[in-house]
Amino acid sequence: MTRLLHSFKDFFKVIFRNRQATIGLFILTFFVLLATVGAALTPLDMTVDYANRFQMPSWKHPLGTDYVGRDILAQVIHGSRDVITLGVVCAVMALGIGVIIGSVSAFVGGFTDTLLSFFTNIFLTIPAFPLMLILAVAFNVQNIWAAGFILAIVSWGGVARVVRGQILSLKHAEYIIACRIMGLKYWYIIFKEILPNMVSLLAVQFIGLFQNGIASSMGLMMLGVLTYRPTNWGVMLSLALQNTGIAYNPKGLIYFVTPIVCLALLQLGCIFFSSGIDQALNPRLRTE
Amino acid sequence: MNYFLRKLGTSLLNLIAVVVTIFIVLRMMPGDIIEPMAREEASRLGITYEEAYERVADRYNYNPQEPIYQQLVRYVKGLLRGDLGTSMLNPKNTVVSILSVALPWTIFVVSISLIISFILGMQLGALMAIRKRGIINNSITFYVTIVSAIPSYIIAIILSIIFVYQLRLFPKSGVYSIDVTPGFNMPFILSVLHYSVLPITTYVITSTGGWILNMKGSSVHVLGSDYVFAAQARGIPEKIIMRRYMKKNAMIPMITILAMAFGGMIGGAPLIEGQFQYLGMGAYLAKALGERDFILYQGLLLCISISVILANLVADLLYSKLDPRIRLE
Amino acid sequence: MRNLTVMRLRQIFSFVLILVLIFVLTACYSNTGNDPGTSPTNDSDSGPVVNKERVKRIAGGYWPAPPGFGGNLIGAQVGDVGYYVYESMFLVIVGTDRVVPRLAKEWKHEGNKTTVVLHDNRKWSDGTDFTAKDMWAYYLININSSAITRYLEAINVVDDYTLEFVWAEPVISDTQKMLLLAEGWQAVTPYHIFGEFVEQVAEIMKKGTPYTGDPTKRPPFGLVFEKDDQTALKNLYNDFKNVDMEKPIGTGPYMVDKVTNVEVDLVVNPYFPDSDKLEFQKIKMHTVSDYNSLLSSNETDSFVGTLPYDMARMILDASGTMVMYPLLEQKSVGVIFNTRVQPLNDKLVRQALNEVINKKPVREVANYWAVETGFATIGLVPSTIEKYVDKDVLAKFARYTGNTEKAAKMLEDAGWTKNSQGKWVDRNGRSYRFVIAANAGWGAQGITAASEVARQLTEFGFETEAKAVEATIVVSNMKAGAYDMMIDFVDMTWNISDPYKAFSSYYGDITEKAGIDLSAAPLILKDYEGKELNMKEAVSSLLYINDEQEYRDLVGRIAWATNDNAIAINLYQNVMAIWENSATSKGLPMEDEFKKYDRMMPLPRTEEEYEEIAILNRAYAPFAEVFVRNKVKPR
Repeated sequence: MTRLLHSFKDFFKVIFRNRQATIGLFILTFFVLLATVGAALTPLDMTVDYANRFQMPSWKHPLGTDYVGRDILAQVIHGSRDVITLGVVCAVMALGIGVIIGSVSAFVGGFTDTLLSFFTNIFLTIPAFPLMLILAVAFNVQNIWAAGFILAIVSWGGVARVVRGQILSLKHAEYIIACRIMGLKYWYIIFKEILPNMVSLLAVQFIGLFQNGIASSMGLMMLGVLTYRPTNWGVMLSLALQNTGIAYNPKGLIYFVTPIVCLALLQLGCIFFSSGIDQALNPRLRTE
Repeated sequence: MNYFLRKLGTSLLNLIAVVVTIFIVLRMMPGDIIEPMAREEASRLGITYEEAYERVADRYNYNPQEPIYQQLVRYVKGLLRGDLGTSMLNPKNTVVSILSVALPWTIFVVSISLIISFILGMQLGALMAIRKRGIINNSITFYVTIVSAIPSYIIAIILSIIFVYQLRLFPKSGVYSIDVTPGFNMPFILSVLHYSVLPITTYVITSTGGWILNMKGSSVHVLGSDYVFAAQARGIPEKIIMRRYMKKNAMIPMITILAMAFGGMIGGAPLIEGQFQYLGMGAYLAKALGERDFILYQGLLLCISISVILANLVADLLYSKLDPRIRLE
Repeated sequence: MRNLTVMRLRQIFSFVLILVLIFVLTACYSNTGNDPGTSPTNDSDSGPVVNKERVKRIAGGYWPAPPGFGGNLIGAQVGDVGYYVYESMFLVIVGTDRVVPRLAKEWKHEGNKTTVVLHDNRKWSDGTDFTAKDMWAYYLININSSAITRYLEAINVVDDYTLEFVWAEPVISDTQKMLLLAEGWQAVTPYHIFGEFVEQVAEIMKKGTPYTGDPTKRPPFGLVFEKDDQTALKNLYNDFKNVDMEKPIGTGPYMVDKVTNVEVDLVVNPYFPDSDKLEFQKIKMHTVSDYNSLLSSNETDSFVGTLPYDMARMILDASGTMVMYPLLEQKSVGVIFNTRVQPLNDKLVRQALNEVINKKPVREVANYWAVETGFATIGLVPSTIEKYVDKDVLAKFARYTGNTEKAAKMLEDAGWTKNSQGKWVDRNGRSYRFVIAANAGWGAQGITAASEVARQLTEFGFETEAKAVEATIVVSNMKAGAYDMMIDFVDMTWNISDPYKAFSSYYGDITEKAGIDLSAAPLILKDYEGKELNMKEAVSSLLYINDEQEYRDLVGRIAWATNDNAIAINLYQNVMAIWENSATSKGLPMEDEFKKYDRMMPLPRTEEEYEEIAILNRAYAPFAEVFVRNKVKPR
């Protein structure tokens, strides 16, 4: 128990020593709070008020109003819940499936490797949309888990391939060979020795999957797997694009920029924090 | 040699599996495609929906009652003869003619973009790994985050507004000017170059970020390894460490990723193709899928699958050549 | 370390510099005249420039990208280019239903025969003479998909320029005859190219046996074919599809010169009569992905499409010369109820829901320019109702204003109550949740309207959820009863706004979506006098009524009954906008009022104004009617 606590303390010490990582942590915490507490505290009023569209930020509407007069800040806060949940669910599921298949394939080698690579290749070449359409109609559920699962099925292939490649090269590192000579079990080696070395790689994959999930959420909404909500940032962006055309309505600039900034901040947080995790788990990088 | 043959064999099996899977997956797609097409036709020709439905249904060369097995056999027989088929909707579109129109442009634009972003990514990524902090590092991270957060079609629109409409330097859309005749003449070549600059620029802007991060990750990993540490301890000058140790070792995963990217590039970049109406493989794929034109889609996808599998093969071989530790697998 | 960084930076810098150099060099290419002599460049505010080349640049449109482009319309190789290349016997102006003769010189109705005499001086764009056989070929090729064939006994080619249409008994009214003769693109299949296959169709037709059955299900020309003949006809259609034509061949004013995937250049068809008198000598159709920039920089002369109000205003200001004409479309957007499920099978509930919806915010969210109607659903295109229904009958129609209190009262009168959570429950204490589906292929318009309707219903007391569904699935799902409501077109026609057309697509397509199976059991509704109407029969009988007053009477009854039955909510009638460039064209409609409205014109106020504007839209008056009429000229 104390060892666990001790390693936690160590972990956070390293993070806070790294300025980038600290900023990243704060950003991520901010968004998580926004999605959970913020959504519960802010009322969401989607009544159409056309006369008050595209208002400048004011005390009543801190970020102004959208193309039919609804408060932008409230939409962003409520949208964050859907977006972040979906992104995380999709990324975690895809990462999980990809890591398991990729690492087993690379580590065990031989026929299993060939078979699993075969399987991965097929999923890599099947185009995403037909698969999503078939799954969406076949399953006919609509909640975040189903959506995350569908997205994960479509995107785990890339993860598996990258993981396999990396493990193949790590497999021959001296310390791994030492582990095998010592007779340690496969799972132990994978989780204790190899994965920590791949964290930065996995973090980059996670960010990509997260972003892909958010981008595909629009597509899933159009397939009926998710309820259509104008608060979803991707939807906000496309509605903004349609109603302002970027350059053709300067009053609508805030409506257009807000989802982009939110997405960018979220990504920035992930990238910064991931550099911190890298250092925390890989002491050799801590020299700075 | 043995290794190569084995890999080739599995690649071939892979290809066959992909072809069959796509065939079946496409025909499992639910929905009635004739319905929306009929409505469009009705609006255009000024006839009623029922009449339009008849016309489109007659035009659409597909019999859903025929058992899938039979269709597959017929298709494969055609493939073996070298006949990729014709579009199910417009008999003038043989798959081969579409490929000959779409493929060159996609390869042209995407390979140039890939090369440029690869080189830039490598240099900048290595730079970022060397200098672990500092303004260069921060500004590049900033740029990468911003650009990857903004959807690529928006970047395309912004570039378009600035360079096409405000400055009137580049054409609005298309692959070459309507006034030049295709062929090996100067006006045509110049026109092609002129029309391709904006798509390439957009592509480079949006994809360099990924390469930078990848290279940085790879370099950081190499820099943290024992032999580099040992070399530093031995007093070997930084320049030589960078060139001999880091560059080569960090590049290994990058080369494989590049090989795979070349393979995948045949699929085109749909958003950029859409924004600049630069019709390449991506655009035709999307159109074929939207119209449920299975034969055309399969033909295009076959081409893409071949290139992806081929690229994987090359990547695997390169990997084993460059990293002696893996050679025996 | 420092030296290394500097060296590396220098490498990167020089690389980027080379790229920028290439960028700039290719940019300079644009100034060496690569897009020669096409558009009159309008330097922002230097006023109108002379359109010496007499070019009309038209933005938007669909045509298959080469190599898919060709001349065979049956094989879908032509697309929107056909609007300028082809003609038909008669042209119908959408919205006013005025029939304008094009290839027809004279026509005469006598009993069950209509004789049409065609012009004898017309030629196809490849020089061949245009004869009556070309028209006959069109009807035979489209034997299964042309509505008119179901009302004909035969089409006879009397001589080179005379056609005789023999109508089946009972003979339809003269108005309906003209509308059927004017429907569709007709002179599109030259006999000298398709003739060989057309003759085969004619041979097979001789083997058909006369049909004796339900007159409403009459097959084309009243002929029934054996299985083998049916297959043969199907295979012949394949042959039609495969006829290889490089370019479309038509009798219209223009012909195709060059094609790329984003641009089509059309030049004057030299065989068109008085072709040198055509005002515009060249047409360029071009497509881009973003029309906003195109419009605001005056890079085009004509465009059809709506934009949100603020954007339209900004673009008009930025351009300085573009003019926008909004025009009512012959389609309304509405909510179709699934009348098979509880409680939507109860007419009173449907009427109450009609009262709940406040249509103004729905319009603002979805399509700002649209025009709301006060009806539930009338079957006709709303803007034409005053033309076809008498005023005193119109006063008897139920109107809905979006008054939620009134709606609440209507529900209470039907036995509903509100429970403790503010949701409505029926007599048995059951509450309901609705799912409203929108066609994802419509883009934002469909789903935003759906979510606004859902929001209003939820606020009123019925929990409703909006779902976007993929375009290929949504309609069949709705017909199978998967959703409670769906956003779709109601009260519409595809082209001709005559009530028969509107009602026949209503009591067919739309009732099917609402879950009413007209083949299983007839739909019998009461009109405003309590008289019972078998809807399907009543609509069919409209075809045969020659007396105008009798026609209007029946139309009034059918419309009233439809409104009363309320199987849908008519949210608004669609409006589209036509943009024209006053810098390059003169003689545009309402020219003297441009300053007054700052080039954002109001909806047309008279039928004359409507027609002037409507013919600017090629889909409303196809075959380049506006270019032939010569009212709009290049500057």
